[in-house]
Amino acid sequence: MISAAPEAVRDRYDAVLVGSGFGSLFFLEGLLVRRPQARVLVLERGQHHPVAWQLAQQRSSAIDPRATFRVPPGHKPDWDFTVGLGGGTNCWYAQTPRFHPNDFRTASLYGVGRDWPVGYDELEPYYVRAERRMAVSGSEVMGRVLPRSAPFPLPPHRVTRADELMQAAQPERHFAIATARASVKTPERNRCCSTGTCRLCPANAKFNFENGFAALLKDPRVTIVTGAEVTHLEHAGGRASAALFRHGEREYRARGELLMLGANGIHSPAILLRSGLDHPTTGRGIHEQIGYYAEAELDGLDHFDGGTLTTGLNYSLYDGDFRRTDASALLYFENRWVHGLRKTYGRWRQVLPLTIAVEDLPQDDNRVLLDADGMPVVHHARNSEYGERGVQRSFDQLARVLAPLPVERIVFRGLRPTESHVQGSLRMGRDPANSVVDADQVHHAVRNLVVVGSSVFPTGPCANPSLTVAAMSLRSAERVV
Amino acid sequence: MSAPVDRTRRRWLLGAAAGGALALLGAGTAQHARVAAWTSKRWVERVIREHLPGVEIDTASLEHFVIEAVHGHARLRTTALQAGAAWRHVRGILGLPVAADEAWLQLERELVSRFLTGSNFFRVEDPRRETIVYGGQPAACGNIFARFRDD
Repeated sequence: MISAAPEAVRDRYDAVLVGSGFGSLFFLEGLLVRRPQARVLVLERGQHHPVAWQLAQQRSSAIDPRATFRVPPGHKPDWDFTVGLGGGTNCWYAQTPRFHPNDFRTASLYGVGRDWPVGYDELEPYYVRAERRMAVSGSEVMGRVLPRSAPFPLPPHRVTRADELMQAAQPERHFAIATARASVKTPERNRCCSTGTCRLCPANAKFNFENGFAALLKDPRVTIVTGAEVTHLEHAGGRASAALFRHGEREYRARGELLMLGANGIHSPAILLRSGLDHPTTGRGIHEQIGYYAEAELDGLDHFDGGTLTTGLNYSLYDGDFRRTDASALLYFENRWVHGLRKTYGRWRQVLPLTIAVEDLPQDDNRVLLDADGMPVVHHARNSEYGERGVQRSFDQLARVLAPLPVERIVFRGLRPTESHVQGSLRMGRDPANSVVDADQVHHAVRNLVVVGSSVFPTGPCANPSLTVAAMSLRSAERVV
Repeated sequence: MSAPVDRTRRRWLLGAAAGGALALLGAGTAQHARVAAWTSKRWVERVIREHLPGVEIDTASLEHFVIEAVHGHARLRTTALQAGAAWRHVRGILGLPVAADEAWLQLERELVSRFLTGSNFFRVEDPRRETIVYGGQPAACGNIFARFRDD
């Protein structure tokens, strides 16, 4: 059930969940599989905004995320997320590539970053579960790079002619995109019709809270309270006992046997810091991918003839020994005119827009701190030099990668202000001296407190994080509950 | 031999009139804002026509696009940007060079793309043999070139 009235909160719950984005929802899913009779409270700071409201308002939440944190002058200003029921499931673009197996062991293989305390093989069954839950579309040949134990739930989208040429020349590196935008109609969703406005999908084609988790609104086991801003966690003797939250002008306490924190990479560390859970690495390492746009002007090849927003992923610059010095990059072949059609009469479609996402490494100097009034302040003065070198290397290599296409000219179209992924501020690891949560995402010092979401990522791979967040939450719930 | 001279003279007169109107009304006044808005509309119209030589465009629907572009398009909503568009329009009428500023070139590109994809341009067999009518931006399924699995 859902309630905007905190009086609905009972004395005690089996689990109290803070936040309702990917990490929280998939943890809840796993929790209810393990304990079908559990009583769960979900505390969400934002409101429940149905998709119809979002489309009418042209925004995913009434709360501007920029009003929920501060940034010192000269630091990276853009961090994007949705404050509302369903969190990022509302505003995401539904790109769902898995992480690469070597993303989990960059320290061992390349001497950079940290190894994750969980590996690809261990996570693989949970990737399969998450993909099934989201009805992901994709091509089996992607398994050549990202090994799979099960087929994609839905067939791949139709790719563009440019993708077909790339696939023919680079069958081990260029694939139809894996995406939770439906390639065929399902009972819950329509087929994607390539609108190009996935942030507010008007076609009910992408997986989101409304078509994926709406049953929770009527589930008698689950109480969802919206407008509930968790400020602190109560804890003593290595056990958390309650979440303290503001609702309007009043403060409330919600007690639980298990507490799960999934408020995002800015607000989760802020809650821990306010609660006195100020392990030296709490809040440190916040980062996201470095993204930029490029365009390849084509000679005689018309583009934009694929079946969804982004049709192809190219892994030519993703993994290899170069990662010892330069960050990896993933190339997204866009099937939308990000910068417009070409302006030359008769050659309108002869342009290929690319989005390139480059790995960045968490740096301790980039961190979330608290202002005197308790507001989080995001200090992020710079990207890692490793990441910056990856940007340069990836752009320098584009002509080589795109050799199968009739490319006239490649143009840099600018850095993207944000990738809308807030990561790495509560990193996981085996050593409590340099990590906040363990391999199961349990807080090292508070053993009934689980942290979910991309805040626990020890490194920042260049692929989109949401599928990995979902898979890790399913795994965590199975091991912790 | 007299026609080119006449056209040049007419251009100067039109440009001088538009530029004079802008200057006389003075920056910061309500009249200035109105003149900037009007002149920037004519700039949008000229951008579309220049990129579609030999194409007959339905006048009423083009005006609809122009209004949509100036009042609805985020990049042209401010008076300052409208004044910039107006200035470029005046220089264009006068045949004076306009700096190839990347931001303005990009705006031109966006405008042309929006007009083309919101019109019947790509749906007719030969756009130079039929009247092109702007119908508005589709709310969904806006990629008119898309092909799907079941196509």
